[in-house]
Amino acid sequence: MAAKCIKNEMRKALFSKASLITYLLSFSLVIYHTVTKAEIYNEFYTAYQTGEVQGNPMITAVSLYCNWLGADVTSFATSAFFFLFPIIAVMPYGWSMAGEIKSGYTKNVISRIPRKVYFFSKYFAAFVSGALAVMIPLLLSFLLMSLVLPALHMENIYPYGVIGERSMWAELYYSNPFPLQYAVCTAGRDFFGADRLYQYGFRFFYTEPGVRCPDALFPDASSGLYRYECTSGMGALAGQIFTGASSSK
Amino acid sequence: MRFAWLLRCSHLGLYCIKRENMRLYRLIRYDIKNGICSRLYLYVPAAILCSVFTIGFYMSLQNRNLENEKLTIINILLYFFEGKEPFSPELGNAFVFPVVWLFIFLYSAFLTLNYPYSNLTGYGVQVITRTKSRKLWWLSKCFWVFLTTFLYFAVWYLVSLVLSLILHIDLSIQYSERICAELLDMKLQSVQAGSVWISLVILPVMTSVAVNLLQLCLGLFFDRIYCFLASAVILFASTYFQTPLLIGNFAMVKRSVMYQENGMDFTQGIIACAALIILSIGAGFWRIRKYDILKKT
Repeated sequence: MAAKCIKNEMRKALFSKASLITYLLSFSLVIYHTVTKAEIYNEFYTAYQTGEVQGNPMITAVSLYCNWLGADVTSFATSAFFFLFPIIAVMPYGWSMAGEIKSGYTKNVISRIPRKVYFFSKYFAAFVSGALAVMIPLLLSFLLMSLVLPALHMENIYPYGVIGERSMWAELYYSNPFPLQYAVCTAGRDFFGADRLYQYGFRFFYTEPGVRCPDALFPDASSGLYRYECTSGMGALAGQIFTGASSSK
Repeated sequence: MRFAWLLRCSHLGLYCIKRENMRLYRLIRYDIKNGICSRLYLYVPAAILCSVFTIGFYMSLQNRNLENEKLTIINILLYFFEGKEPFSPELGNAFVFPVVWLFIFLYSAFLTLNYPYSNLTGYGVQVITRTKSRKLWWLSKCFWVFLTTFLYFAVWYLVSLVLSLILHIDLSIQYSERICAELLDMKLQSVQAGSVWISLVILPVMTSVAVNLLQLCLGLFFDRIYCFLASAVILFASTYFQTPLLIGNFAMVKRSVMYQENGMDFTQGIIACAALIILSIGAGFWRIRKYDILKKT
């Protein structure tokens, strides 16, 4: 019974119109990011071949490991991805429970199957759909970028702006970058999956469809937390908010 | 004879206008009661966060050994609306979005997101049937967006004003250049009282009204979450790209002529905001005429 319920919820979560829109949005961001990065790489490569690059060319700066969607910190696509995903990730399934409670569907279901099974399958589907909405574009970006950019090892003497010397996972990043990329995908998946669960918890108290929980107001903060957690630690963001320091510092 | 006929026509016209104005007045009163007075709790988080940001900024002076500097309310407003300096995507220069600025404008968009459409799919149908005019309903909702945005910004300004009084912060139009340079990384070029008012009060409010009205108008075409997403994209893209096409640029001090020579012009900003407001209201008028209300309900 539980498997059937989970299957049903998963179908609702993954094959809806809203999830299709979510994937379309994220894939278009990934493609835009890949195309812009490929253009930059081609320009650099042509200049490098013709000897136009003066001084230290910092070849590792065009590496796959600091230019894919999960590691790039300068492009619009990456910033938009991490800023908007707390909103986009909840679109497919965000207010499914609110809608079902309001329409009376929940009463019909929990009179037929145990309440625990129904809510567990809801939570499970919410976690999986939120996680996939983030993990698939990240993986797709890594695969697409690996078709274009060389997978050069990063060197900790250069200021890439991605992961500093004292950042979390810095040792791993500079010694063996591939597992770190997997770890970033996993962290992204868990973070946005958990974000979706938080949305669901909120729905028990506030069932107004069309209104997202207060997390919608802090997409910047939540995605910022995720990014800083993965790169420079939470202190930077907290410092930015509470010390009144400029965002550029 | 002809004069009497003209007089009668004008009386009839005036009577119609008066009656329409009365209906609009009643609709606005209804919106104020249901859309503002019964939703006042939504302004509380804004007031709390404004206090947190203001106190945080005040405390940061002590962390940077700037206690002796004369902090004014203009410094605090500059902190709120500083935005982001023009960004150049270079190696090692990570893009960090302006959290405070984005929060202020996104919360304003969130405040005006739900009420008009929950009204349209609820009691709004009855209201439209009784007033016999979709046009008036739309006009009252536009007016409600104006009022809500003004009230929201009034909360921000009032809370910072009250906290300034409590913390003995100077209320003058002057500001401390050293605090701006050290805490906000901002060196303003030429500052006159008029420029300060426009960049810290008029343009942020106008930009927010324009974005909220665009969101309201888009709500007649798409689902609400996509409208909020569109507002978020416009505001976020404004922090990344410096272009007059992205209206958020006009509400950032660091993008204005006060901060940089090639910055965004105030007049251009006011015209762009006014144009977007008129366009959104006009598109809404056009759309609401044939909008299928019953299907939505």
